[in-house]
Amino acid sequence: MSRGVASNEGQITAALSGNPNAGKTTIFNNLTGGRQHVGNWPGVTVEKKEGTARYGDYEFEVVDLPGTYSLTAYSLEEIIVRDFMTLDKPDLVVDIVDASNIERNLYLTTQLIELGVHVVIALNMMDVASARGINIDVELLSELLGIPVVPTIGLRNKGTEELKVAIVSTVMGEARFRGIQVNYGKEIEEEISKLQAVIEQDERVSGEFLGNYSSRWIGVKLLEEDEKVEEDVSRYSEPGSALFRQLEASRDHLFTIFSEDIETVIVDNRYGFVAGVVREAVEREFEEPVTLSDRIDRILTNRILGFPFFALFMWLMFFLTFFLGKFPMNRIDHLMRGLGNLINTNITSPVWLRSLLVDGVVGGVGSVLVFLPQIFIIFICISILEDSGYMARAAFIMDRIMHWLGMHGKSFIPLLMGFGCNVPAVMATRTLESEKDRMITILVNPLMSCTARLPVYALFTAAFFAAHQGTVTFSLYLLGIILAVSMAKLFRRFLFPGESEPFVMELPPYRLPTFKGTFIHMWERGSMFLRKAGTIILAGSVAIWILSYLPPGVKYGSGASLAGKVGHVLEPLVRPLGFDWRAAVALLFGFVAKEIVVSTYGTLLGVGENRALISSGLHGFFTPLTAYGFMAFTLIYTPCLATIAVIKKETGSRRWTAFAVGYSLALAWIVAFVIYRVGLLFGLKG
Amino acid sequence: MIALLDEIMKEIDSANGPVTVRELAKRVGVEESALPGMLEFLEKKGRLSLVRAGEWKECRTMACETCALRRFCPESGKEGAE
Repeated sequence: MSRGVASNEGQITAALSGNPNAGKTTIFNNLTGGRQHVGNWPGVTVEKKEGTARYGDYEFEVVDLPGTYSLTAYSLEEIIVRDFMTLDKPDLVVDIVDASNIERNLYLTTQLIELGVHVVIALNMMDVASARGINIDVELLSELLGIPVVPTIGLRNKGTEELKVAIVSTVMGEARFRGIQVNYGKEIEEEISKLQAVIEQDERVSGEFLGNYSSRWIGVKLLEEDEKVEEDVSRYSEPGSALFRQLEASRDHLFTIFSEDIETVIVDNRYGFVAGVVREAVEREFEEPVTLSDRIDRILTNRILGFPFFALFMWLMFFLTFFLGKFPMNRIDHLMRGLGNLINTNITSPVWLRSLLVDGVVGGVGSVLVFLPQIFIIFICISILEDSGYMARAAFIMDRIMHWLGMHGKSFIPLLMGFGCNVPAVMATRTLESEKDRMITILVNPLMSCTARLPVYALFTAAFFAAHQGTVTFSLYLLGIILAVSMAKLFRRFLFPGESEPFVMELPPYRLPTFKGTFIHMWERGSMFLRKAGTIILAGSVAIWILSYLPPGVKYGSGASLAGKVGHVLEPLVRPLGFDWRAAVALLFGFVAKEIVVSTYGTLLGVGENRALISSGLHGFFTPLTAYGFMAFTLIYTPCLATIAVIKKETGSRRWTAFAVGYSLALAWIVAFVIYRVGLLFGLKG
Repeated sequence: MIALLDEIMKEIDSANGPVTVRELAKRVGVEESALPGMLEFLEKKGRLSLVRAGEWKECRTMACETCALRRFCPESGKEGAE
């Protein structure tokens, strides 16, 4: 059945609608040529483009609507499109459908038809679809949907004239237009009919409101619990009216039948309808080709092979960090030593100033700065893993373990981000919908070894495990992951019981990282480290120098200094772990930022920045066993101040923030204790 | 009528682990590009969790335009932290 629509003396208003990237702008330009102007939609900053087109005696006013995937009221674009359709009532809507992604695009089409407007499909990008072996029976598609379908290739301006013909003939009632409806099944259809009847009987709703909408569309939307439609309708109908009573009865009735919310059933039917149409009218000549990404994924995301590859990449990252980092590190070390010598030679008095500059500033900040190359290299590695698309795969394979532990697979993403810095990683937990999952992920995130711990590992592994720096560091990162997932399991069991929903992941294709992208990432993070060295680490070093220098007359950095006194007070707490008072002072200052642990030793030892002397100095207080325990303690204990602040902000709770600090401190002590005692049992030197 | 959303949930449940969008599209027999819309709806309903490509990325200036965390990021000049 064909029917005409109102046109005003040859003047037609046609709205262009479609999914983003369906080629809407190109079709708009093809239709209007240069006759267009750009403004904004009322009250918002979304661009509105209008233009005019001509065909025969007809002039079209063409309005380019924002791209949307559906007509729900979730986004601003969707509301703009819906309001324009219902309030401005265009004569017709040209729905631009990307033929190469037809199934996704037709979902919007079904909603446009349902809205009761006249729709013509511009089946765009036919060339792309054809190249992908997608053959569309245009005539059958038109018949199944009950609307005209015009194949177009926007980029080559093909099909534009045919589209104009379809617009005019549809407006004039000469083209096919049945505007089929999605059949939602007997039970829902019955309730829609009941609602339609009440809507049409309601004088105010049908008289003042309905003019803009079809009663079926309102009925469906009310069943879907569309807040905007419900709000609009309630302006014309009281909450206790026959319409709302019927609505409540219909919803209750359908809920008892389907045992789930009606919106899901309705949306499922819509998707099912679209899938049915596509299966009828679309034929694929060949299966999608197996891409290089697919082939690589068969190995890297394999259930068994995935884990060893993940471990291999992590190990390789630390090996490269230390192997490549030692060359520039020696240069910086040399420079720092030269700077210390220069100060020693040129500033002979006052003695305190010389000591402040050499022991405090150069010794403290310099001992951290020498690890700048390692920081740069590790960020290059992280950037390559991310940009290549591998990090997403790492999260994907880790999900199996995470789920087994009762944690959300998505949680591994903030945890992976924690390798860079715990602050954005804690913030990234906002992507987790479940409050319980979020709390668990926030609490365990500081156990992931951020780059602030790297200088500590680099200093101690160089001093005690020089031949296996990469492997020992890798073991610490692994220890962090194991502790994070184990604690998550405990928290899930005792603090936040519940189930996590299943997890689906969109994997990006593998890509070769660009030099620019990698360099920017490295520089951004590296410069952040430099800023930290010039601010927090400098302040921490000066504070430790003051404590090591005072009271006047004591031997610098000795047990008689203020630092020594503070350290001796705390020493009983760390003595069972095999640490002395200097470790207690270093860990105390590490509360501010973990790098300060390194600068504390640089300052306390009073040997300037000289790495060889710091290293031999450390041999006076640590053995390989206690050094490993100390690194483990540094990894686990209380996150830095910035992380504590962000935990407070994200949890909104002082209690949970205190818990995060307290449990990590206790865990660090226990782990370091176990390492020390087990090591002693095996005959290692304590 | 095909109950697609149901079929998707059944496939995810039977996978006994995470699934990729590509894999799921093949199993359910829908176009890969059509699936994220359905998955987003199911995610809104709390039935599953969807991770979009790029969401796992560490924050950095050059990825801001496409970053899923942009609206939460204090380093993003436009919207800032909540």
